[in-house]
Amino acid sequence: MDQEKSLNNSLSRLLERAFLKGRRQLYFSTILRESNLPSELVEGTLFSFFQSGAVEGSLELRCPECGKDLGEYKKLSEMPQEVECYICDAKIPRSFDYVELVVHLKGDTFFREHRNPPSDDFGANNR
Amino acid sequence: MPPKLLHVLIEKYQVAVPDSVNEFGLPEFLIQELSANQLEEILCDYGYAGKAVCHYLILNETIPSIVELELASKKFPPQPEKVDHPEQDSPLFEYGETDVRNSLFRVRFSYFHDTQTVYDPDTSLIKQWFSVYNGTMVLRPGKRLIEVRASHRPIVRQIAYRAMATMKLPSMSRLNLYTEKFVQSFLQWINSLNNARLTFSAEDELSAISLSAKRAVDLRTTDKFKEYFHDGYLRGAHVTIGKPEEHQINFRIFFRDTRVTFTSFANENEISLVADGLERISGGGEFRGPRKILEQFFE
Repeated sequence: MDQEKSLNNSLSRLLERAFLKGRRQLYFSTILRESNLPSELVEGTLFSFFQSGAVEGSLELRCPECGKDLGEYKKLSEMPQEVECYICDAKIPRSFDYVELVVHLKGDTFFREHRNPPSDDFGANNR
Repeated sequence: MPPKLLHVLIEKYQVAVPDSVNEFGLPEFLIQELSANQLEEILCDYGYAGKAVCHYLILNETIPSIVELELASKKFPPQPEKVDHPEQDSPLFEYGETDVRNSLFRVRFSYFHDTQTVYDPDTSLIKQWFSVYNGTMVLRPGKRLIEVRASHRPIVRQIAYRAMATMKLPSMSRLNLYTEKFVQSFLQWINSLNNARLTFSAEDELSAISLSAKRAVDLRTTDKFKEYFHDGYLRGAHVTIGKPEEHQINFRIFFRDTRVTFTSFANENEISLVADGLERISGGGEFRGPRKILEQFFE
């Protein structure tokens, strides 16, 4: 439980810092790189952020052969069944295998609150 | 080539070295004494290896045969004789070659990186140019792991993408070695852990710690390592493969960057051994993105 809280805080801080620097969207791979944490832990924590609505996201289609970005989509279902890369002519089927998750940061308030949620006692004493 | 390795070669090819030849004269002496075939063997084994810096990526299918790779490499455009406006970190294809001895195919690239500024006293001008570096992509037929040997990380993906696109190879994924499962299996696979770099989460007072074992001590057996390993994440390690009485391979691994730097003078066979080990342990563990998030929120 402590580790979970610590991860939450660590990731919140990272996203808050990014937001304060004017970055409004981050690739999942960038978050992984900057957080310096194993991918499954970052995914787990980020999952809770998506659930609570603190962050939103979109999918960026990437050509697996030449790396070219081929457009951004809100959902996988919006993507055509097959996209042809205009750089290398590769045919890319609709699949999560070829997308990069883009995390959109909505505001820094959430991260601050998420990091240090006010305890009931503290709140009561201050009311 | 280190003197120790020269002696290994002397023993292997049974060359009689007269007393008049000292350590410094050994390389020259060997070049004269060994046959062209033997020299070619040494070049195949060590020419592109040694203390190599290897970055790993994974293909979604296995690498095709050498014949197919040879044909595919002919699609590369010839390298321009002169580059007027060098583009930083943009790889230029040099040549592709088959190494029959080690059953692999190499694609050699050159690229410009870092600017050098020098004052030219003749013209009284300050001149600036890019330094030229080389990168090698190694393809082993039947395997999925591809290896890019280059000193600069930003160039690695570009080399790989350029080669993949031109040679029409199967699509590529990022290899994920920074998982608890891989790290645990890796620690079981190696023969000795010499140094470990662990990082901690933001709440911890420590950011990172580097632990080194004394000579002939395996860090895995120490209490300190067990304690820190329990609380932190193993980000990098210096390890040894092979038992003390055998030939040993030493390398440093960076799990997050999927990078291996050999610290002992390794030959192609030894580098392949490490690459095969990584592929086997990772179970072809390509990074498939944050699947849970994607499937839940972006279906």
